[in-house]
Amino acid sequence: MFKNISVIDLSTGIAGPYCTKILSDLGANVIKVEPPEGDITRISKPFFNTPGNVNQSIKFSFLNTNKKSITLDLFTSSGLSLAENLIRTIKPHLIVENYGPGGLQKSGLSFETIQSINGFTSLVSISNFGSTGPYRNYKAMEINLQAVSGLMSITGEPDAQPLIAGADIAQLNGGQVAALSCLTYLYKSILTSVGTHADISLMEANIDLLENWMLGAFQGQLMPRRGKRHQSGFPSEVYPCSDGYVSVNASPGPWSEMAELMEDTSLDREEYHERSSRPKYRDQIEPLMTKWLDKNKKKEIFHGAQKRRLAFSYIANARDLLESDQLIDRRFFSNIGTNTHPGTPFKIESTVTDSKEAPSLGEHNQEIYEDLLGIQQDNIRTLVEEKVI
Amino acid sequence: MTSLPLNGIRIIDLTRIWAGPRATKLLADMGAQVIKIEHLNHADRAKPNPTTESSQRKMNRATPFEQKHRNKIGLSLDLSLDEGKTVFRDLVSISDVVIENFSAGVMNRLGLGHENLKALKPDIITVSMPGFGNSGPWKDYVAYGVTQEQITGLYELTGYKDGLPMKTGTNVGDPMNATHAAIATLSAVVQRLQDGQGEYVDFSQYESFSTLMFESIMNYAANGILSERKGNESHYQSPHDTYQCKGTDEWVTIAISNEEEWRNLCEVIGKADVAKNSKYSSQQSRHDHRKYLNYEISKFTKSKSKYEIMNLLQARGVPCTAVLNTQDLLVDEHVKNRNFIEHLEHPDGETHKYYFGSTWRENGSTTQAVRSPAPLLGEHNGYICAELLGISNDKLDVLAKLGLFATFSDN
Repeated sequence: MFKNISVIDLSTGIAGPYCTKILSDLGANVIKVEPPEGDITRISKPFFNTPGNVNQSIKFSFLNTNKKSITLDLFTSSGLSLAENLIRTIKPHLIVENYGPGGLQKSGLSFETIQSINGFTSLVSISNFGSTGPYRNYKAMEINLQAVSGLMSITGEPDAQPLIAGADIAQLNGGQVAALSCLTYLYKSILTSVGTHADISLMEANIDLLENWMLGAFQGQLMPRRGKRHQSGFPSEVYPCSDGYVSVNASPGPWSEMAELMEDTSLDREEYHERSSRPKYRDQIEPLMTKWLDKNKKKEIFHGAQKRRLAFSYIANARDLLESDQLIDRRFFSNIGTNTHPGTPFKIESTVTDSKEAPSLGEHNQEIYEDLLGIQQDNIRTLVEEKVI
Repeated sequence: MTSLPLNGIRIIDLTRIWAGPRATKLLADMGAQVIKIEHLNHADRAKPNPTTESSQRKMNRATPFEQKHRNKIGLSLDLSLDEGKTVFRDLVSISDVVIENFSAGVMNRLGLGHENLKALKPDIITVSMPGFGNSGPWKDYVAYGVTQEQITGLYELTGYKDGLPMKTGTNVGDPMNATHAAIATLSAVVQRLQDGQGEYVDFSQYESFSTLMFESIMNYAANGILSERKGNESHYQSPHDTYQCKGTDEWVTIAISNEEEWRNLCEVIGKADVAKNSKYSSQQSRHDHRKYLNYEISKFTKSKSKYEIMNLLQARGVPCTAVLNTQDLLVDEHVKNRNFIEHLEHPDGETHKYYFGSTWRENGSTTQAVRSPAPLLGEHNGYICAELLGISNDKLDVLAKLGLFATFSDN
C-alpha cells in the first residue's frame, strides 16, 4: 500500500533516480521534477536502436518507470514558488535531491523551508562525498567513485592497474542506500509526523561494501589485489570450458560427486577427498578437470554440478540471463512499453504489476500544474515563455 | 538513550555469512532490535579457544563477524529440538520480522515456514533469501558469495580489455543484495503500517543482482548488442582511465565528460595546446587517440602523488580521484572529517575497535552509529527468555539442561 505515499524527486543521473525507482515500483506516487532541459540521463548512451521508443536512453528508460515528469526551473523566483505550491498541495512524505552540497539551498528551498510548509516531509540529499568535509565539492563519475571508495584498489591483477567493476555499481549502490534511508524516514514520519534530513555520501556508501574485508586493514595489513583467485581452498576458481567460463567449487557436496560429474574414476582417489590437504594435489587434479571442462558447455556443467550439490556457476552474459529458465519461471522480466525490462529486486504485495514506461520530458505538466495545482492556462503559457517549465 | 528511527521494530535474525547479516545490520544501525539466533552446533562464527568470555570477545574482534553484528543482541537456541521451536514460536508472537537465508525449504521442514508463523502472529513479515528464490527449477541450487556476480553477468563485464573475465575484489553481490533485502524488509514493514497485513518476501538473490545489470540486459534485448569487457575505458567518455602516480602501486582515475573539463585537464598537465587542437575536440576523436593522450597524462601523473593530482585537478573542476587502498581509507582526511570510522570501548575494556559508521548523517549530526559490539554467542539469552518472553527461572533451568541454550562454554 504505497499508493498513499508521495515523493517529489528532484534528482537526476543514476543514484537518485534508482532510489526513487525503488519507491515508484512499489507503487508510490513519484513526481520527477526535471530542469527544463531534462535529466542528463535522457541523453546518456546506450540508446535503443529500435523504433517507437518514448525515450531513447536505455538507462533513463529503466531508471524512471512508474514516475510522472514535470519540468520546473527551481532557480527562478516563479519556479521556486511553484515548487513550494507543489509541496503544499501534494504534501510529500519524501523529497529526494542531488544538487550537491548547498545546491538546493541556492534555489531558496532548504530543509527548513520544506519543514515550514509541511512538517512530516523528509529530505534525502544524495551527493558524491556528502555535504561536509574537504572533498564535498569534488566531482566524480562512476570510475572516480569506485576508485576513491577503495573498491578498485582490490579489483584486478596485482601487477597491473586497478580495475573498475563493469557496471555502474557505485552509483546504484548509492541509490540503494538512499532508498533504505527514504524508507527509514518514511516509517518514522508515518508514526511521528516528524521529517528528517538525511545526508548521503556515495563515497561512504561504497566504502561500506568493503566491510567483510577490513579486519586485516584495521590491524595494519594492506588488502592487495588478488586477480581472479577467489578464496583459499581448491578448487575454487574460474576455468574455461568449451563455450565460455565456469566457476568450479567442490562443495558443499562430497568430493566423490566431482569424480562422478566428470566421469573420471582417477579423480576419486582417497587423498583428494580431504579439503584441507587437496591443494597439495593441484597439479594432478587440475589437468583431469580441465580435460573434462574443455569438452563440455557451461550450462550443462553448471546444472550437472548443482544437481550433485556442487556450488558451480558459470560466467553469464545478458543473453544467458534473458534465456535463464529460473528467471523465466519466476516471471522476472516484463515488457514495459516496447521494451523488455529486468524485474524489481524483490516483490511484495505493493509491487506494481502493470508498470508504466518512463515519462517523456514534462509529460505530466498539464496534469500536475493545471489539474492538481489549478493554475490557469494563461499563467502556464507565461511560465513556458519564461522557460520556467 | 535518544530514540532512533526504527525503534520498536523487532527482527528475528536466522541469517548467516554475509548478505543476510548485513541486511539486518543496516536495520539494527537505525534502531531495530535484531535478535541474532545461533546455536553451539550451528554458530555463524568460529569457536574460540579457550571458550572464556574475554576470549570470545577477542575472537569477535578478529573476524568480520563484528562489523556485521554490532548493535544486535544474541540468542543461542537449538531449533532442532521441539522445546527450541516452542521458544522460537513464542518469540515470533512478539516480533515483527523473521529473516533467514537457509536453502529453500529448510524453514518449512522445521515447521517454521511463513504459514506456520502466520498462525502465531497474523501480521508477521517473513523474509526468505536463498540464492535463487524459493520456487523454480534452480530453487535447490547452492550459491556462494562470488556466485552472484558470475551468474548475473557483472563478472563477464569486469576485466582488462582482451583479458579474462574477473571478480570484483569485494564480491559486491553479497553486500548489494543485502541492501536490497533490507529495503524489501522495511518496505513490507511500511506497507504493514498502511494495511495491517503481514507479508512473505520470497527474495531471490539472483534476481536482486540481475536487476542491477539492467543496462546490458536491455541493450541486448532491444539492440542485440552484447557488452564487452573494456578495462577502465568507456565507450562514451575519453579520457576515462586509471593513471599511474609517483610511488608504488599509486594511481588516480580521470573521467572527462565535457569540453570545459578537457580544456582544464590539458592546462593543468601543461598541454594547453593539445586542448586547442581540433584533432582532440570530441569524445570519439579523443578515444581514437587515447594512446597518445594517455601517454601525455601519465607523464604528468607519474611526477606527483595521487593526492596532489586529485587536489590540483579538482580545483579546476576535473573529475579526478585517487585510488584509495584499504590503508589509505583509514587515514584519509575526508573520511576522518566526517567521522565515518568509529571506535567503541569494548565491555572487556581491552582495546578500541574500528567500525564503519552509518552511510548517512541525520539532520547534520555525526552521532556514533555503533552503540554496542557484536553479541557473544547466547549473550542475551537471559534478557530474551526472562524479560521478553517471561519464562520462569525454574523452567529455564529445565530447558538449559536439554542443551537448548548451549554456548561455547558448554562444549
